[in-house]
Amino acid sequence: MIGRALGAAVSIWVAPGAAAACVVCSPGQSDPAQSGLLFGTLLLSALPIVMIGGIGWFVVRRIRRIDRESAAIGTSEDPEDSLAGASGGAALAPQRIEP
Amino acid sequence: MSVHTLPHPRHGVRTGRSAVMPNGVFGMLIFVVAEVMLFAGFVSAFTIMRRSALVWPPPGQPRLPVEETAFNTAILVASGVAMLLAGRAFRRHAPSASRPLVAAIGLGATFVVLQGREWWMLIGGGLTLTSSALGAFFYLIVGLHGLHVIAALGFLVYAWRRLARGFLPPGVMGAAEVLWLFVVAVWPFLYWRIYL
Repeated sequence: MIGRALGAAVSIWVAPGAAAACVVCSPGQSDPAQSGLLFGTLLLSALPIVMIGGIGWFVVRRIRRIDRESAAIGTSEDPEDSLAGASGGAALAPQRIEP
Repeated sequence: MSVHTLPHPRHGVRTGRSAVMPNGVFGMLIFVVAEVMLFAGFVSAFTIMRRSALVWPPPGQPRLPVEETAFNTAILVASGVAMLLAGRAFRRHAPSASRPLVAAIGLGATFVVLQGREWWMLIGGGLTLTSSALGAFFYLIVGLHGLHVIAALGFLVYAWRRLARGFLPPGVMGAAEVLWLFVVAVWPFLYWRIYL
């Protein structure tokens, strides 16, 4: 499976013109319009991944932090007040929400 | 309990679950993601059009004021720094966020005024929405950003007024911070792609 994928990637990389895969990567690579297309393709492809990945990374980090602080505080206290204090303030501290 | 930790009446019945971030901040993040893609689409189209043009910038059109806008960019970035300081101050002691918040609003308003002056000069020089592809994309992209700045300024003023009254929920402050940092962060990219 990995070998096939690797083979396909190498053949596209080596002979994009023969493959005529897309207007961005095959003909006339020196054309400024092609570089513009490439810029647009890269920008529009990478941005959603970067943004969703960034939010996901932030959420996971935050959940881990909440878990750590909850474990440190224990379950007998009010978690909202305790977490707010432990995080150095209450502005973006975890809040209880409606189900 | 400080003013910004007061529970909001609409929170209703509480359970033991904890939220990762205030709902307002999460909603604003989703909005910002959509807006980033909107700007990315416009900038991509502009880049392709610019690279496809035989002559750029179009002949007979005024040059975009690169130096003046660089100064204006610095003002907007300073406003973003002020907003970061306001957010940090709010998390530490809410009332102390008032001064940096006012600074962010003032610098943001200065940016809008200078942009308006720039537009006035460009329109006077013959660059209009219908004069060329440059004009069409310039007013579309920069105008869209300007509208975002004005809307975000309104949100900042709203947040500041609530802070002055003694009750600013963390979700509102966080959402204002996210929106303002978005309009600040996207501008240097737009400046690079459109003006340079």
